[in-house]
Amino acid sequence: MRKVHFRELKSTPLSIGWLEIVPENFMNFGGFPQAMLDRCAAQWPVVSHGVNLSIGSVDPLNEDYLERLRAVLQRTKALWYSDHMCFSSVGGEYFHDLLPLPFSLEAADHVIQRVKILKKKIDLPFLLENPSYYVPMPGAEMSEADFFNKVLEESDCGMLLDVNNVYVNSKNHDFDARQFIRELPLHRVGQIHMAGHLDRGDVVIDTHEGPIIDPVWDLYRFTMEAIGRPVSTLIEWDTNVPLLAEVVAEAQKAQKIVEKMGLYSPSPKKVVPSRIDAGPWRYRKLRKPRSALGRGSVRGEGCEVMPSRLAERREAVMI
Amino acid sequence: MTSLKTLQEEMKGLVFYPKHERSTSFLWKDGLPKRLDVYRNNTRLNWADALDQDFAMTRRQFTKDEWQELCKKYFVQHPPASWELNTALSPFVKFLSTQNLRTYVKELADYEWHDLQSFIHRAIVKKGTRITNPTAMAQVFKHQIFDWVEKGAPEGKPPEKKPEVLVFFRDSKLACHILEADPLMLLMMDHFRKPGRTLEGLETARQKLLPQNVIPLHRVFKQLLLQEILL
Repeated sequence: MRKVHFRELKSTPLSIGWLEIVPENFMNFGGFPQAMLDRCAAQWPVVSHGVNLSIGSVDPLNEDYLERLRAVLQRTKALWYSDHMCFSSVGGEYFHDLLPLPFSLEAADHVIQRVKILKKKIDLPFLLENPSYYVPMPGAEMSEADFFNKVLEESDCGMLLDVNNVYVNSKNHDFDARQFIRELPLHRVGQIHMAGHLDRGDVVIDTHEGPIIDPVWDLYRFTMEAIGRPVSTLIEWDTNVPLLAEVVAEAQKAQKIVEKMGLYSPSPKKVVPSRIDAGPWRYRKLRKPRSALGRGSVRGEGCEVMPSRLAERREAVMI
Repeated sequence: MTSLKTLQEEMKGLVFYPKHERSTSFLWKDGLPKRLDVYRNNTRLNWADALDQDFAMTRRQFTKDEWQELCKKYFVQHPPASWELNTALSPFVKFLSTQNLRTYVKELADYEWHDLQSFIHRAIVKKGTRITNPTAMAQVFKHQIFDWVEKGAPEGKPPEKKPEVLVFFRDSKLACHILEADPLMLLMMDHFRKPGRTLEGLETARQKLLPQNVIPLHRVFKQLLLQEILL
């Protein structure tokens, strides 16, 4: 769920099994975002999908970040949490984008050590997602699939398999998406992401926009068959977000595929998530200034409800 | 072979807003890959979008080119130092103060920043605690910014140059407010920042600081409670 869905969520008749939150949208905020999170977490099971853990960065793990992440996970009673196999910060400064790692031994060992540290700090299942990437980093010593196998096995970590990212990468780097999926440690897949993308001709960009195209649904079917068990599936829709019903319909499409394959849908505690972020959405009561003492320049009486004239606020999520 | 650290620092140099755009890198001897632009665009647009949205009214005081130039200059000096992008923009108001700009434009940015801070302030606002609302922040402006903002901060009609003190705060129902403040209100806010303070204690302070002010304190106190500047 995105911020534009909050009003709908308050009284939706739609069947929503669980929610995925982007923790960075709540970790630094009180007020409305926090209240919204509490309300949703009271109603639905929550999982967390972060964007700025920066697990592959050579920077030390950010203790302040981890402390706040842990607080959000506890507050929402999150079932698990995930982030991306990437780096997003260098020298304490953040890209707010997901930069790919080289598929090197050094990078693999670095991530393995950091996941081990992380697991000691946060006692919840942790999943790493395969990101889309547009430029392979120099210095690869193994394939992407081998890189994932090594990191996940040696750190004993789960995988969030983004099927759309596999499709996007296979187009951009000209490889066989199905073969790639076959080579992944599928027994470690704990969640799946599906999304739309933008095919610009010269490059396919993972925009999380629009309905999912048939070839990606085909790849989803293939993935589920290869995994052979139900896995919670989330539809990511981050750009030009439609009404909640349309996002839920896409999620139900995934559900039907799984059911048709004879795989029962996951229980409500593991079901297909939507995505939630608090971000800037708000209506607020803006009271015209007046003297607290009732003297001087009284410039307006009472208060009125209106949309803020100031800017909507941007959430942290950049994927 | 390039170490992970060297690679990441090089990527930062290639992707972050630069003073001068680089067209070569030791990472790719045959020239930069064209798709590196995806990262450059994504990263820089994400930053710039955040600035656009957090300072939407300030942005409208500039032409598109002026604003882009200002953004670039800002992010070259202050790349995001936080994992939370709004927080990463905290040096912007101070940065503007170093630029050759109209004072009221700088004040508008400060106004927008304070408005955002009261919205996202992490404190819990709970009535009945008899302290000052922890989200309440007072700020002095040299111009009548509030009225100007209410009119949409029209570019051709600058705000009147006349000082005003505004208090930004969020109430217990999560609504954000901006109120004009006067000296007694500010004194009262300051006095009740610490728990256990009384009106009697405030009277002593008032006699020292505002000897001419004789307004009944209980009346002001009641009004500030009603407005939730005091809780």
